[in-house]
Amino acid sequence: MPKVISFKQIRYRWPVYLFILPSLFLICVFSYYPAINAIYHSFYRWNGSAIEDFIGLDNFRDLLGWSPTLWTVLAVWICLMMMALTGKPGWAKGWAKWALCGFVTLVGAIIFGAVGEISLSSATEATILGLSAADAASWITVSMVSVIGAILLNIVWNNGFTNAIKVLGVVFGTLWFFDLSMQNTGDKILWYGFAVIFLLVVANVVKMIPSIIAAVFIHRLKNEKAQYIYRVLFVVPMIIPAMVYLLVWKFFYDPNQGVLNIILYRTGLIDLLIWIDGIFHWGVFVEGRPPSWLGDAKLVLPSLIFWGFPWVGVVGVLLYLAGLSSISEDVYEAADLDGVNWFQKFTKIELPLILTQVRINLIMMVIATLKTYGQILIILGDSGGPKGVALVPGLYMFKNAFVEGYAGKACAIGLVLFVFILILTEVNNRYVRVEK
Amino acid sequence: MNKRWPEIVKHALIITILGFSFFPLYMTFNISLKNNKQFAASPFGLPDLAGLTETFDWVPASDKPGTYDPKSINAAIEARERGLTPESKDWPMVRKSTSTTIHWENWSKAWGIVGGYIFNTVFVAVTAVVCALCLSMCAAFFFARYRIAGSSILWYVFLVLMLMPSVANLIPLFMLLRNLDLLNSLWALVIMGTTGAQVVQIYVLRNFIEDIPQDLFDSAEVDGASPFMQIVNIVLPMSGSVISTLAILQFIQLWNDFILPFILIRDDALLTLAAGLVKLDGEYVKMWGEMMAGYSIASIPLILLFVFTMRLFVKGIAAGAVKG
Repeated sequence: MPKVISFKQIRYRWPVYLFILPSLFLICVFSYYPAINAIYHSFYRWNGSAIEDFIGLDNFRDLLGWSPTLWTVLAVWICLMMMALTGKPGWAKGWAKWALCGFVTLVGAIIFGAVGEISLSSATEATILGLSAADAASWITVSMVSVIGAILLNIVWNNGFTNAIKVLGVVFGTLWFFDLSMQNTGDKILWYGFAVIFLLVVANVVKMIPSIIAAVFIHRLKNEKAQYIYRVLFVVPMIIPAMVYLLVWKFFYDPNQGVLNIILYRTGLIDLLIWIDGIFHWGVFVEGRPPSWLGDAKLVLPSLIFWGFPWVGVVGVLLYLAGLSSISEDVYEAADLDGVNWFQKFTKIELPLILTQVRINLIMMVIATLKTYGQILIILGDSGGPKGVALVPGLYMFKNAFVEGYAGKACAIGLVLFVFILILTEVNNRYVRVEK
Repeated sequence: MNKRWPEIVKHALIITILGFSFFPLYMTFNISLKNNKQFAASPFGLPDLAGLTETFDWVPASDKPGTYDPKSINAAIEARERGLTPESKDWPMVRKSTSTTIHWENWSKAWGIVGGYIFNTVFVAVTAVVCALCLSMCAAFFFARYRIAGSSILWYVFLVLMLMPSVANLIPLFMLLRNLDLLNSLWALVIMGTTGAQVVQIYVLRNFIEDIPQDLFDSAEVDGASPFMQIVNIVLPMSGSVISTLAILQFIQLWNDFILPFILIRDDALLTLAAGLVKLDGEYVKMWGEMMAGYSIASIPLILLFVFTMRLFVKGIAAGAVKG
């Protein structure tokens, strides 16, 4: 049992506090102070030093916009996401949840619309709570419709939809959300950045597959020595520093001397690409001009997705192997007797066992992708590549803070990201990790 | 016979995947031994196997022992007869095949560039790892051993940091370090490295110390051992593997970190490895051989670390992934 020190004893046992003092001092000064400072400055027009004007929620309003439709969809989308991920809505039952969604939307619309409008203090029309009557009517209508719609949707949802249709619903909801966000009054670049993140997340889900395949194949080897050797060999390429890996891949993509183009030209694959280009009219692969993977706006995102082929992550492989090692031989023998083929063995025996690890990895990957900007900064510079096609939110924040001098806006972007990450972390802690 | 084929297919598939993931390593090492001409002529083969497509370079003629090219020796003797010295302008140049030369000098040149960065990084990483482990060991001992007014609140103060991504606070952090006059200083990186590792290390070490039988501490206290002596004499001797795992994880993290050095350090001589490599990459005329040699040199310390601590490494990576 830990030693309990009562209030009376503190008088002569106070030196134990000294043990924690250095750590506490460090995190207070270098972790908490900057974080609180960031929240504080997100309400300011701030250039990092002299200029510092309080502007209320304008930073957020400019970034997110205040289209009520958008916020409704966002709230519904988050609820759908939570349900799809967890399958067990615990915090509210039945229609109450959806009513709550509508209420949150309403409050959100009021805060972002009304307060922002008041603090702007430049409204010229007659206003209610700082909103024109037409605007107020429109978002109240939309909120009411969304609440009713949500209740209806909830009834249908809980009665006889298969999982596949639910997933499809979530995907289309997301697409609709991004479509709306592009017409939103908010910062177009930020929403574009979120769309890019969404694309990268989808790509990264696909990129998780090779690790699973590699782990399953290593696990199924009969020779244990070979298993061990392969496991070590898979770790080796990942030992090289991340920066070296990044720069070597950047070199691979170099248009004139990069290895990728050399391979394409030597094997004649470039002719195939040019032929395909001729059919689809991408205008990317043209005779006599080597494709410039990181310099052509159309090629940047595909290049980023192809990055790191064959996408075997050492952490993933090791985790999956650890999960797979708990399957006993008997299970396989029983499966053999039942005439189960190799693919059914994967879907019925192996996949369920590593599903926990897959889900942990999935959430971790989404959080990491949301935060990502360092690599893109190195590969494409702070402009986010040609035409800013890869300007992810993190990089947009970095650019605002260190290139353009809008530090207050950058803090606000950071906070928006923080909220997204917090939601995901919460989902992770509450629903994914516990079920080991 | 029937049962062998599935095994062969599995081996083949794994080896194919491994081949693709080793390819960048092979190319890095391979190009680090070539000059730009050799690379252009034969990108994939090793230098001494690349005799098929010969390339040439102009080098000064030489009659020194060890020169086996008769053309070069003859030209040098002839030039000496004309009264020229190797230093003079008209000293003849001869064509020399370069396709069979291994350019080890790439590595020495790259060491000249990267070496300083490596020392900086080692300094930052080692100092930060030592500081972080000392501080977090003390804090973990406090949390594991004592229940005193405020200890549970303080625990949450630390735990909340796990949720906080370091995205939003980058700018205020920069301003803070600027006001503390820590910009362009390695100590800023040491401090940030120490701070960043606190939460995870305290979390892991607290669990570790709580698993030690508490009677040990009680009896030590009866014998008059101060809390500090308890850490040194009881916790430290037991915690070899957990401390080294934490140290390795933090070391790798600091070795790879580039955002902070990239923002904080302006002086070229103070750059750490990752940021230095970025700068090397940004240079206009690219000497691929030297760059790749630099990359190889940058990888060697981690590879050495891996070879000596393989078991801890594999365990540590898996554990770190779970802890996040």
